[in-house]
Amino acid sequence: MIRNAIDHGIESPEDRIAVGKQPEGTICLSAEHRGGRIVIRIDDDGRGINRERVVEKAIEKGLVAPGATLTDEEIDNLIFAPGFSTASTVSAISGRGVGMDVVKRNIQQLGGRVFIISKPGEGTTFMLTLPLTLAVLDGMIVSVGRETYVLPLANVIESLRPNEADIYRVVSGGEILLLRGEYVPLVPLYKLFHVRGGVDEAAGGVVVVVETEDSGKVGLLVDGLVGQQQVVIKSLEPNYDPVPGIAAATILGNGRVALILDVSSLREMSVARARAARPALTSGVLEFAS
Amino acid sequence: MTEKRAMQLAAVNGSDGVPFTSDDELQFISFTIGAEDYGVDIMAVREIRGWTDTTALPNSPQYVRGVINLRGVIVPIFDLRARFGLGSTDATKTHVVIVVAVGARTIGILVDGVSDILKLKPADVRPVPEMDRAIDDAYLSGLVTVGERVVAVIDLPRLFETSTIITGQALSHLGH
Repeated sequence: MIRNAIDHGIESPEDRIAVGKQPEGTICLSAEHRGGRIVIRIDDDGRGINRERVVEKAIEKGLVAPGATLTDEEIDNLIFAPGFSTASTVSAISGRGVGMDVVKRNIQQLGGRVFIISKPGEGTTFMLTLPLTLAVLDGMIVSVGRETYVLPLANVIESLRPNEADIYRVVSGGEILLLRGEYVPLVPLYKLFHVRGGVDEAAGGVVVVVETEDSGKVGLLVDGLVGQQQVVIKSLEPNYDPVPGIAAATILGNGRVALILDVSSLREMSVARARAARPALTSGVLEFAS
Repeated sequence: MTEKRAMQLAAVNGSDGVPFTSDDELQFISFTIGAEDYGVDIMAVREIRGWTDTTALPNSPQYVRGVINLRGVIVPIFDLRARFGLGSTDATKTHVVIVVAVGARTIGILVDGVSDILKLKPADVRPVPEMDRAIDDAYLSGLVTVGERVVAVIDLPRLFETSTIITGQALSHLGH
């Protein structure tokens, strides 16, 4: 990321003098402890993100439809899209194929987030936040039937009791929730996990709207919310194999094990299920996918 | 010839891959599943505890009963009856979980009850004749006769090999 700031952020001395800046560019790397997280900032005083160029490139790579209107923030975040790189040539400093998408994914795997703040002509700031201890997670505890699951709070946007009128059944057999003008696919957890005794009517349960960095919003249908709690992450893997949809486990106050959900794989499982539910034509495709 | 084969079997199936010599005394924990007697090498056994409720793992095979908290470690529990294809155990407080080490993993196996500790010579472990049994011979490392009863010695590493678990998981996915 520092290499990127040097290569793409800082202009040549001539360009800098021409816009009235010091000929020498500055990149400032700082770290602080804020609210249980570590915040790492990389500030440069370069030219900022060339949004026109980013959009051009994104259209060229098919990441954005031509003519789409994007906010500045959305444009800035395009640089994290897989396969995106505006550097046309590999320089001595950056452009070795480890794209920002890889950076972002690695940070997310550690439970962190990346933000960009960019002002044209004034510079760009990349902000990484990482949880202070990797073994502790802020969780929202939800119940489905007699099972209890933990959702990483970082993924949770809101929770609500949906109105029957806002739920639409779609042809593929899935359900969609209309949330303030936005369509959110519903993922009934009881169905995905084959839990018996879970609330099977969306209107009778609670929808937790979660967002994953790579797959947009989904509404998880659960029976109820139990509470919020910090949990210690325990891996299943030393003694078992990875379980689809489950990131890890934890031990609750009552001594019982609760499973921590992996939100992005839940979304994938749900898509795969919907695909499998469709008859004949697509079943061959699914076999390869699984 | 039979004796020789039994020794070979005992040799390859010793706990932690340490071969037995003919003078070693073998010890097995014997337990019951329904009317049948089974045994596991005592060296693999970490502890024996009563059945406690598990947390189910989604979309896992029928014989995976879920996970328990064993003093802060997450341990999966396998229903041996279901593993042998004899249906699910209706677990109660009197059922027993034998915590065993299989390779680097610690797992629990759910059985009906623990009966005895058997002390044997490797030569006492007879090879499994081919026969019409509910469980695959491949998962047994030998037979031991104790009085009137025949105890089937289970080859834990083979029964709970990672690949079998994964296959089971894949199969159960297809089943749904």
